Formats: sequence, C-alpha cells, structure tokens
Amino acid sequence: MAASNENLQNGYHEDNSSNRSNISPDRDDLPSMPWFGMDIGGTLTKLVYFEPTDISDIEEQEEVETLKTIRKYLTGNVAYGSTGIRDVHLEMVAQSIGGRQGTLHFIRFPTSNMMTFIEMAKAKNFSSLASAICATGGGAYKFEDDFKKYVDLDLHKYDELECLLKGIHYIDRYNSSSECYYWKYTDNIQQCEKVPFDFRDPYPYLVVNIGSGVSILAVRSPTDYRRVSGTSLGGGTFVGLCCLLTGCETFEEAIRLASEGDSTGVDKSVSDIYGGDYDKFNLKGSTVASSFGQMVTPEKCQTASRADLAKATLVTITNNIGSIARMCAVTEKIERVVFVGNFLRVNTISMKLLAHAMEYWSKGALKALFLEHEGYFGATGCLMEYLRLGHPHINDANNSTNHSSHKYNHTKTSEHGDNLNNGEILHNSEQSLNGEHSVNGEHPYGGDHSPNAESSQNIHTSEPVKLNRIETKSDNIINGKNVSDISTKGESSKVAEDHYHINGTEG
Amino acid sequence: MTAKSYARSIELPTETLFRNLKNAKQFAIDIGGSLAKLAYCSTIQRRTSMVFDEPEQDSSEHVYNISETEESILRLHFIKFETKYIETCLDFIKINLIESTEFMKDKYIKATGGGAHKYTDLISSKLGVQVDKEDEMECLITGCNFLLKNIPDEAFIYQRHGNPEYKFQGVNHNIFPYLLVNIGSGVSLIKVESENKYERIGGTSTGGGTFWGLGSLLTKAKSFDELVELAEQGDHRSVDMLVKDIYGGAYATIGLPGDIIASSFAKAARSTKDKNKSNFKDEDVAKSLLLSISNDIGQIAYLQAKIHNLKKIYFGGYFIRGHPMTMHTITYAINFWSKGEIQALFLRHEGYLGAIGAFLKGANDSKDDQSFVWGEHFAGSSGLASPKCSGFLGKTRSSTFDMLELNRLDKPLLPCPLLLDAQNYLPDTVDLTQDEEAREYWLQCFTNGVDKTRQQAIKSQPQSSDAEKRAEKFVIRYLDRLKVLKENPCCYGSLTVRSLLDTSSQYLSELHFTDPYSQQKQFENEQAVKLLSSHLRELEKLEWPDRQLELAQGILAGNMFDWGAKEVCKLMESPGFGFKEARSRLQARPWLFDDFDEWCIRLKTQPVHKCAVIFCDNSGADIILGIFPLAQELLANGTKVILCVNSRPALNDVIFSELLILVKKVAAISSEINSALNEGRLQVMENGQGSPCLDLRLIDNDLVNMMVKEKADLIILEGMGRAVHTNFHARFTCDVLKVAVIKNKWLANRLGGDMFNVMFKFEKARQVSLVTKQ
Repeated sequence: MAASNENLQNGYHEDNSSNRSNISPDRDDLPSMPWFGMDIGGTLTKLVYFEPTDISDIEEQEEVETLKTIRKYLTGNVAYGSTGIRDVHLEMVAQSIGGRQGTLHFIRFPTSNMMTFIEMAKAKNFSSLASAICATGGGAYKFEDDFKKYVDLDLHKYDELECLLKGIHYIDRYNSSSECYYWKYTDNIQQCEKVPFDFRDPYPYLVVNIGSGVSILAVRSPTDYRRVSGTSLGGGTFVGLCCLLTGCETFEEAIRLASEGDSTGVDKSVSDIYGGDYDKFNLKGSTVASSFGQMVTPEKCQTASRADLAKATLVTITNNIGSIARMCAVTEKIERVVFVGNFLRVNTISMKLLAHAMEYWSKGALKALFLEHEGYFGATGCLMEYLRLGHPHINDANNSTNHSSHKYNHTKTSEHGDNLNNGEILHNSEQSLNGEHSVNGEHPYGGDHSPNAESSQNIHTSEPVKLNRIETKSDNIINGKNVSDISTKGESSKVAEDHYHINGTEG
Repeated sequence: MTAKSYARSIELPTETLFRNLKNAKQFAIDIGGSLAKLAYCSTIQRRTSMVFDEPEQDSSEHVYNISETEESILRLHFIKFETKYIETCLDFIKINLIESTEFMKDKYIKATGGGAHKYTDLISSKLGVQVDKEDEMECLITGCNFLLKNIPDEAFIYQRHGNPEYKFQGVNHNIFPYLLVNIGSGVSLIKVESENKYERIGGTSTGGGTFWGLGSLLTKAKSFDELVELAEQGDHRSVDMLVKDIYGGAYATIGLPGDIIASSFAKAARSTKDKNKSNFKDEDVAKSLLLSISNDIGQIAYLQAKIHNLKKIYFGGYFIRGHPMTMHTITYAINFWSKGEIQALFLRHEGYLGAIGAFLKGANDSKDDQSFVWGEHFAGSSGLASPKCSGFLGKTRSSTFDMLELNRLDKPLLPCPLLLDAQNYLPDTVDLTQDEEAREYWLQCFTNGVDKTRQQAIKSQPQSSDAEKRAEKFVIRYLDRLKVLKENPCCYGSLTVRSLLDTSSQYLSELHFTDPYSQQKQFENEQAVKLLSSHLRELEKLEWPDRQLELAQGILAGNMFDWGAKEVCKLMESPGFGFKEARSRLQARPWLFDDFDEWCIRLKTQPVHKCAVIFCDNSGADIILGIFPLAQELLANGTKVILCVNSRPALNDVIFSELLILVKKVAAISSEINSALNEGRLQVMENGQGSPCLDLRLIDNDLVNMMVKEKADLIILEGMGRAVHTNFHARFTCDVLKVAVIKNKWLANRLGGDMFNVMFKFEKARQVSLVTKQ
C-alpha cells in the first residue's frame, strides 16, 4: 500500500469532542472532514475519499473517533461488505486539496446496495461529523430523501456533467502518471498497444461517458459544454443482455466470457449475405452486416456458445457507441473523442474496438482517447464542486501543489488566445505558477487567484523551471515514458528533474 | 397464439394471386431473407366500348355508334410471399406459362436481394431462364424513386395517436434529395440526390436481423412477425432502466423526461442477483428490444440526415414492413432527436422497392419506353395492414401474400400550371381518414349504391350471358373493400370520395364493365343534340344580362343529369323528366353560393379572357345544352375555349372519344362553334383522367402544354365531382368559375344548404406570391 497507510501507524487520541470535526482545512470556510465525492449512477455508485496525510499530532489527538473510524475503515480495506471495492491501483497520493495534503481513494459499489451504504453511514454515526454529503448522478436525486430520513444528512447535489468534466480536468492534471492514452496499431490485435497522450491542451473534445447508458458531451472550454447526444445502449445493456443470454451475473463475468468468445458465428457478415466484399459500397466481406443476424436460424442458435453470445453483445454495443460517437464528432466538428465510464473497466476489447472503429471509419481523422480513472470522474468532480461551491471564497491558490500542475499551467498558457502577451505571462510566471489558473481565471478549483504567502508554503518548489516552457507551444512533448516514470511521491526534486527533462525534449 | 397464420404447407390462392400470369412477360424477383417479391408485366385484354361516327349513314338514328372492342393495357404485378414458398411459386409459374420452356428460352429474369445468389440455380433450373443479378441498393433506390414519382400518397407520416393515424404526403414532383434508411438484416443509409446519383453514407449492424436474432434467443417467438406481436403487448419498463429509475424523476437540467430510457435492458442485469431471471416476460423483453433497436436506428438516421443536411428520411426494409409499433418507435426516435424538425416518412409499398427496381432494370434493358406513367390499380392491390385489428396478423386477408398492381397510363401526367400553390394543393375537399362523420356517411352511401351500379352494369351488357355473374362479383368485391376501408380507412392512401369512386370504376373495369353507361350516354347525347338548335335560338333572343343568367342556369340544369347521384337517378328514371323539368328543380336565386353578379361584372367590365379551360362533367344535357352554349358565348366574345373531358369512362361523364364526335354534331348546328373549331379557337382535349373527380396534380401533358401556350386565364370547373368533392378550396392564378348543383342532401346540409342548391362561385385570379414570382 502506498503512502496513505503511513499515517495509520501513528497513534490516535480518542476525542469525544462534540465538534463535528476538529481536523479542519487551513481555512475554516471549507466543509469539515470527511471529504467525499459521490456519484450515484444507475448501476454503480462511485465514491472518492480524500484521506488527509498531513495530520499533525495535535490534530491526530483531536480527531474525533467517528472520523478516525471512517478513515481507518476506508483506507485499511480494499473491499467493503460483499460488493464494495476500492480500486487501489487508481489511488492518487500527494494531492493537495483545500490546503490539505492527502490521498484520493476510489471506491465503488453497486447502486442497488445503496441502502446498505446508508445503513452503514447511520451505524458509523456519520451525521455527527457532517450535516451534508455531496453527490452527483441520478441517485443524488433518487436517494436524497433516504439520506435525510435515515442518516439525517443533506445531499448536496451537483450537476452530473459539470462534475464529470471537473473530474476529468482534475485527474488529468494531477495524476502523477499519465492519465490519458490512446491505442496504437488498432488494426492488429497483437501489435495494438497503449500509448500515453498529452491531454493538457484538451479543447475542443467530445466525452463519451459509458455508464449504464451513454452520454455524449461536446466540451469547448471549462464553461462551454453541452450534452449533444446519448444512447440507451450502454454498459447496462451489455450486462443486462449478457445476463439474459448467458445466465452470467456480473459485469466482470460477462467481460470474461466475452474475452473467450467469438462473435463471427453469431453475427451475419457482409460476405454471409453477398458472398464476399460488397465492393459497390466499399464494405469488406468481414464487416458485420447484422449483429446477431445468424441467430434467426434455430440451428445456428444451438452452435453459439455462451462466450460467443457475450462477445457478440459486447461487440454490438461497443460498435454502436463508436458509430454514434463518430457521427457526433462530425456534427460537432470535433476530432478528439474521450471515452470514459465504467463500461471500459477491465474491458480492453471495447477500447481497442472503439479505437479501431473511430480511426477506420473516419479514415484517421478522429482519435479515440481513454483515461485511466474510467468511471471516477463524476465523483472526483463532485468532491471538487463540494469544496468550492459550498464555500465560494476559498483561497485555492495553494491547490496547485504537485508537479502535474505545471503541465496545466503550461498548457493553459499556450492554449488560451486571450493571453497573447507572452511577456506578461513570463513576467508573472511565479504568480501564475502558484495560482496557476489565474492566467486565464478559469481554475475550476479555486475562486481566488491571487497568490498568497501562506499557500506558497505548500507548493513543491520548482518554480523557475517553467519559465521558458511557457513560451513554446507544445502538443506532444511529454514522452509518455518520462511522465509515467515520475515518482508518485511528489518530491520536489523529482519534479524539478522531470520538468527539466520535459524541457529538454521540447527544445 | 399466432400459429394459425403459419401453417406448414400452403395452398397458393393462385387464382387471385398470380393474376394474368398467362400473359406475363418480363420477370424480376427480389429475394430477401424472409420475403420474396416477384414482379412481372402482363398485357390485360379487356372489353371496352368504342364510339365511332359513320358519316355515310348520316341518316342513322344514333348520334354515334357504339361497339364493344378489345383493348389491351399493360399492367405491372408485384407479389410478395414468404421466401420459404419460393419453390412452390416457381413451380406454379412453370406450369402456368403455357409455352413454358419455349417461351422462356433466351429470356432472363432480373434478380436482386440478399437471397438472389442463393436461389440462382433453383430459378434457372425451374424456369429455364437466365438469371441476371442486379445490385440490391440500386434496385431499392430505383424502386423508391419510381414509387415516389408515380404513386400519389405513397409516402406517409405515422402518428400513432393522431387523427388520422396515417398522414399521406400526396404527390411531390420534386423528390430529391432524400435519405433512404433500409432496415433489412442490417441497416444501410443512402443519400439519394437524383435518379442516378446516390451514395451509401452509413449504416449499422444493429438492424432487423439483430431484433430477430436476439429476439429468437430471448423469447419463444418463432418468427419475426410473432416477435413484433409480442412486442406490441409488452411493457419495456420492467426491463429497461428509465431516467426516473436513476433520478427518481426527470433529469431536469438537460431536459430528459423521466420516462426516457436511460439504459436498455439494464434491469435485466440487476435482478439476476435475486435469481429471478424468469421474471421477465417475453412480451416485455421483445418490446424493450424493439424500442432499443428502433431508437438506435432513428438516432443514427437523424445524425446522418443532420451531417448531410437532408430533410426527408424514408424508412423501408423488412424491419418496418408496415408494423405500426415499429413505425411508431422510429417516428418517436426521429422526433425526439430532431426535436420535431424532421419527420420519419414511410412508404405504403416499401416491401416492393427492390422488385420494382429490378423490374425497371429489365425494362430499361429491353428498351421499353420508360417515360410512361403508372397508376395504382386499387382493385388488384393489397392495402396496408390494419393496426386496429390486433396487429399485423389479425387482418382478414392473407398475411402471407400481398399484391400490388400498377396500370400503365397512356401519357405522362403533370400538375396544372395554373394552380396557385401546386406544392400544397390537395384535390380532395374532405379527407375521410380524418373526418369520421363524413367517412361513415360516404361509406354507407357507397354501400347503398352498389346495387344500382350492379343493375346498370348488367343492363349495359344485355347480350352477355355472364354479365349477371360478373356484376355479382363486383358487388362482393367492392363491398369487401368498403368493409376493409371501414376498418382501416388509411390502408390505400387518403380515403376520399374520389378514391371511393375510382375504386368502384376499377372493379367494374376489372370485371369487363368498362363503360356501363355507354348506351345511357349515347341516348342522352342524342336527346340533347335534338334540343340544341331550339335552345340556342331561345338564347339568342335574350338580352345580354338575361342571356348570361340563362346560360348559367343551363349549365346547372344540365348538371342535374348525373347518374352518380342516387336522388337524381330516381328523378331521371321517372318518365318525362327532361331539361326543362331539371331547370324547374333548381334553387331560385340567391343561390347557396352566388357570385353570379360578380361573374357578370367581370365579363362586362374587363378585357375578355384570352382562353377558357372548361373541365366538363356529364354527357347529354350537361355538355350539349349547358356547356356548348356557354362555350359559344365565350367564343363570340373572343375568348378561346378548351373543352377538357375524361380520357377514360367514369359514370356518365362525357369522355374524349365521345366529345370528338359530339363537337362535330354541334358544329353542324352552330356556325359559331363550327368556325371556332375550324380556326382552332375551340379545342377538345382529354384531361388524362378517368374519374368523376379531378386531381389537378396529374393532368394530361398535352393539356398542360396547351394551357401554357394559350395563356389560359379562366378555368371553369363543372359538377360536384370536380368542384365540390375536389377543388372546392383550390386556388388558381387565373379567374375560376366553380359551378355545380348539389345533388346530395347530406352534403348540401353540410354546406349549409339543401338538396339541389346551387354553387356558382367566381373567384378572381390570385396574386402569385412574391416568392414564386422572383
């Protein structure tokens, strides 16, 4: 386990103070801990938990028992009950949020177990710590009354799409290893490989969020985004159909089955109909003409295995999403398509199919991008919203503490045309570094862009490094290897080294 | 539940199915996975009356002579049957083509569709013909263009809870560009820009095969239709995750209503945990499947239409096949995604696109003239399945076989150039698909009138031994059709008085009663010609204003002689009922619609009309004593006159061949008419139609040219069929006079009047809108 557990080794003082919390952020305008972001989807609930790792001894002693219990429970386990799971491989250490250092943990459980969660929150006396919990996703509305009734917690509801985008931007920027990637050589399964992608200059892009259903958003700036389309044929459809067709019970099982299956006997291909390629329309014989098209004959139904059916379902759903996403990209005149959502978890089949489909049908014009934290962006964004929107005067300049933030700073500068005067940026570089988003005033996590002395303490000090980087526009300068090599500890020396490295590459 | 319709072996209802097969030439076949469509062209021999003048026997008592003659017309037959019966059908064709092998030698059959290559050997061995494969998409598009251009009301919008349920699109001469979404096993989206220019712009593998394939795996349905029927009865909400299942209500911020499906089949995933998989009813699963696939196709079609800037989307293919449920879900999807900007369009004969296209390919090859126009032969065609009688299979006719017949018309038909708004012109005054009260009345009225028609038919062929039998068949078939129309008024396109009249004459003609009123017309023409001379003399004596009134009343009195109106029939059958008696029955002025004074003012005060086009109605007093005197008056004033009459018989309406003779007889009586005829100031033309009503979207090519050439500036529409049942609301860019006696009590009441009330509407030329002018 990563750094997060170190703190657990320190002793705790039990404290029965009636204060809701005595671990507080640097500024008292932030909500009291614990800090959660929750995204209650149709199938899965995603929970992001910020574990403070900079707890002083005094704080430690003052930390209320309830809070400690929650912290220990969440960080000390990787599974909760029969269905809750912490995705350890995704955790993000050395995050600086709301003036605190800590680790982000990513936890999921089926929304159908929401009542269990609510009962647990009640049992752990959650309401003694906070009066509210923040949530997004449809369940934020659906379970609002239950949270109030059983746990006496107000749900702070945040818009799903807003959260999703904030989450994407946050994680992409603050993940010490490369968050965004694409698949190379998609026309050859053997050769196909994952390649990091520099997403620091993201706009405009399309987000295809594949949860139970699918939402497609066109994003042109942090504030200019729109849900342009969606489809009901999503992850829920895949699992639902697989359950009906194969008797499997979980997404993982369905994916496992699919990976063993072959859909060519289930689908009807162009050559099944035309006896070969359909040259007139430039359709290869191997192209699927009709998904499940062979299943109209009872004999063929007999020969299809469960795995084959699961594979056909996966391919059908995936290709359909790809096809709709591609058309949306055309209508929106956007070339980058970012696929997110838990449908893609442990699902390289779909990712490679999507990557291939986008490239093939667009003749290379479109690029399919993927993000490591697949389904957690909504929950992460929700936490960000909670920390900001609840307290609009947060001085958030010190949020930009770890090395990845520099990427953002750099990107922002080169991207936004409204700051044409590079000289000025250079001049202000120190300031812009601290309050990185002050350059264009669009930092989604902080309201106050002025640097302050207090915050600078928390900054990993590597300021001078960026100065010349700002001058140069760079799209793919970060070699993925370098980025992923970066230590996740967030030590300043390492960061500085990396920046130099990047710099070198650039030059 | 539906097994009844799926008997293992079938007996082909061959007598009605492969009609005129013995006279067939030129075959084409479209073989799909589940349905095959055979197309052939046949020559129909039918008896018809012909009129001729015998100059050498001038003393003969008849104004002209009638003889029975054979005429032959070309007809296209399309038959749809399940592909599994293909061998049976081929056998039948083989046996019934008399000249069999000899006949078929060196001939070919055009074949298209996914199954074309599979059955090539079977076809060539059975029929001994060469099989020429044609590209499927190409055939579809050719067929689609053909139908859209030739068949009125081919396309429609489906509105499940609307009135009417089917909203037909009339005739549009500008059909391009459009998007054709063909939903077979898979889906192809084709952008069609002109007759020869098209492109496959996209597709999806989630199509009819997916619905059927997944449906077969997930439900007990044994066939596609069964699956649709299951879906009809299902409720997807137990299987699909709706927005409200996730949100507890609507997702207000992005405007998604709670009932929208958020994730198809997602509830099936959930409840496996409870080990109640069997919870899901087949019906619900089928419904969910139908919805998800329809929505998906709708979405993809919408996106492609948007990308390619196409406003019209036609859906076809076996997935649609007229299933109301499917059309409804597709319509819903297109509405949803386009926010109502684009409407999904369907085709009444979508199943035949490929077969029509393949057939036309063959016709092209054999250099048959393609410029001909084809008209739908309602009497030999199946209608759309009724959604009201428990789905696709519940209808009375065979669901296994379906037919479409088209008759070749002699000449191209074009829209009347003087219509104010040809794009939006609809001939029919009342749409009986919408107006339930009117529908009830007219269907009953036509039902009651069948016996009179039967008697007239028998009477018209006294020398024929089987006339009675044939007339009886007419009664059975026409009543059956009226019953079908009562159940599903939309099944043959817009239901109107016009379509009811036309269907009746098609059935009559089909049973060799091509012109049951020929003798009646002959007799009445003779009587009227005898009276013409004295009638003209009386008119001459009158002063101008009185003469105008007398001329108007003459038309009205003449128009009383209408064998299509049952109240009038009774009168006419009474002895001694003549022109004068008819006049005395007319409503006294002021008439129900009385623009007579305006008409006189127009005649007096402004420059005379250049050319009047008169669409005439009945034979006898009507044409001779009503129309000719008016024509003479107009001619005397310097207005050219075009008399337009039907090309083919309908009731006692005067037809072109008769009028050609009659005009000579009249010319012999009136010197004015005689000189006008010789100088070309008076012309007799055919209107291209064979209906008591008048559809100005489709009139004879030559007439259109003549109207343009002579700069026609006055149109006179005469009679109930042409001025009340149709064109009552029609607007023109020239002056128009609409004259009729209302000979139906119900209709008269509806118009706020009474029996034998008079319509004399004079409408001045309308301004051409600026847009059109520029």
